[in-house]
Amino acid sequence: MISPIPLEGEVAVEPVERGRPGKSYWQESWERLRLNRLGIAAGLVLVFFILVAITSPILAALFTHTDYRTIDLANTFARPLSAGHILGTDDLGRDELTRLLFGAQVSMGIGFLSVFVALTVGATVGLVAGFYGGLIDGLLMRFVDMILAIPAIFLFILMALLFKPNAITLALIIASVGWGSIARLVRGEVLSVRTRDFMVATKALGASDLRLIGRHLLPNVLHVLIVYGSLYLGQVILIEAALDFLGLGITPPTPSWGNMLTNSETFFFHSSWLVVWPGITIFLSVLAANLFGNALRDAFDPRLR
Amino acid sequence: MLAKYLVRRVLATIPVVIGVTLITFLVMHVTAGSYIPGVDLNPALKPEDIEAIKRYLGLDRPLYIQYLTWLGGIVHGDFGRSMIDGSLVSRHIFDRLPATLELTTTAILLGVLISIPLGVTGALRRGSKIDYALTAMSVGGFAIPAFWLGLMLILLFSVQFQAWGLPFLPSGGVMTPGTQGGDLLDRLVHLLLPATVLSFVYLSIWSRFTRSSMLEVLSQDYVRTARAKGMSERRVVYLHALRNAVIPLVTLVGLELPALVSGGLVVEVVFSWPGIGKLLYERAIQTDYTTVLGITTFAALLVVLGNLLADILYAVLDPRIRYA
Repeated sequence: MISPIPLEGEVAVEPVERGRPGKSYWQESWERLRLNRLGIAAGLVLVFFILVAITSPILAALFTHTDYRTIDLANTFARPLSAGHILGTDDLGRDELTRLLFGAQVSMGIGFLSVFVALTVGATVGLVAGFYGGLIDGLLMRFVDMILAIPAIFLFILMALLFKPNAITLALIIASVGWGSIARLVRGEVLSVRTRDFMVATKALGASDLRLIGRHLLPNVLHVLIVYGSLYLGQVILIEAALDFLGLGITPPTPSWGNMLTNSETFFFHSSWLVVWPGITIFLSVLAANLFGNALRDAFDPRLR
Repeated sequence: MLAKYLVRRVLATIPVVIGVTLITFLVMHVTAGSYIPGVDLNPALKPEDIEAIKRYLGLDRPLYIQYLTWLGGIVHGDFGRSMIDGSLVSRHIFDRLPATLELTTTAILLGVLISIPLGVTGALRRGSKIDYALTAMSVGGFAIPAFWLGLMLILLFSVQFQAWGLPFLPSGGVMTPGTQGGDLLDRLVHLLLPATVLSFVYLSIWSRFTRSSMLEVLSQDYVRTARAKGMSERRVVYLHALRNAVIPLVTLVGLELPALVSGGLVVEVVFSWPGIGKLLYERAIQTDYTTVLGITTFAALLVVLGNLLADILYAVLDPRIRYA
């Protein structure tokens, strides 16, 4: 009887030593990732931001004892470390730290939603285009070419203008361009996996197209999706912050790291910290996403290091 | 063979042009209901008047006719009119294009000129402290939001330097207000901060790329041969290795050509730089859909054209591509 080919095609190629338990591709990658201290640190920073985003109302209640909307006109531009305001207050006397905590909801929420949508759509299109080839491939990829030919920032502004976005539509707007490059990447990967022996064998066994794509192709391109997902998260956070900064994304009174920097030129002279803090949180989260993405790439594919 | 390739490549561009213009046109159609703000809701206008306005603007005709008319205009360099003041979008574009090109070409040039020496240094001193510092700078530079970096540089070099009584840099604009822009030094001083910010991302990517490309080339046989025959290290590195290491960089820089028009938008806004990006942003804030669409279409067509030219250039330079 022909035993089914394991999902982890790459591992099957390497002869496994007798007496040593076989390790899957994912186990090996995890072990490589675990040894990458910088990568693990970046991952933890990312987890920290996610936790902050989820628990920001609780954190605000516990530590800053105020709401992001609470205006205190008697206490505007309080300096950092002043009574009750660890990071100071803004032009309306709102607590800066509280607003940063809630800003994490915007950046992380939109970031992850956008990455999820772009990965889902991009992977589907890439898998279908790469698997079927021919006319379907040609049409889908030419469509991707067109989307990517329009300068992304112009397209974002145009769509933001038309749809007056809330958090969810803003995530979809950003994802509506991002899926294109993911589709290209996945398609390229599929083209190389498609011709491998295990694919031919599975097809010979009479597997349906859906099974071939879902059970055999997808697991083999999954590492590309995970790596690119992390790197793309950093890009989304930057794009989203820029749109908020321009006043076309999430607008006040909802605090976001981007819109907290709008008009910050006005406060330069006396309250430069208002310009510094949101930038640092954007920088750190993007840095963490990029470094974690790089670490994942090294772990999945040590040759690229 | 070359001629055949060129014809095929040019023909392949046509569907892309149609697709890109169709996408932007359909986006415009979504907004057509409010083509002139308030027309449909204006109680002073009778239904006949509204019909007349729509007829005047061609909105009563079938969609494909509207598209073809619009496409015909674009072929003649007409990117429509502003729906706020009726001015020609193409005129705005050509007013603003020089400032944008001044900024973006400077940034790309700065990026190339600085990233190559940085990348080479990193490769030659692989594993040293300098290498680690350069790597850290590159990883960090890639994560800094451009608008924030711009704000911070303004804070330091314009605001603080002024406060400390030091010579300070202007925080925005192309030239000192009131001058005609004939003073080259004045223009350069204004260009310094925005161009630095814009080149930062390029620096991060290209210096890393040069470093790995250089490392790869340095490990090749012909470099070992050059060293073995007693050639000085300097000649090996700069005459033999560097040349081959920067060839892939040319492709990478070529990929940034679309950014010549659109890449500087956020930086232009931060530094009040009167370019295409700032124009699009200003019009977007005023909800001037037709102008925003005209600029977007223009930029997209430039990208398509740029890709075409780059491909043709590669084909002329590298015979292998023609036969692929």
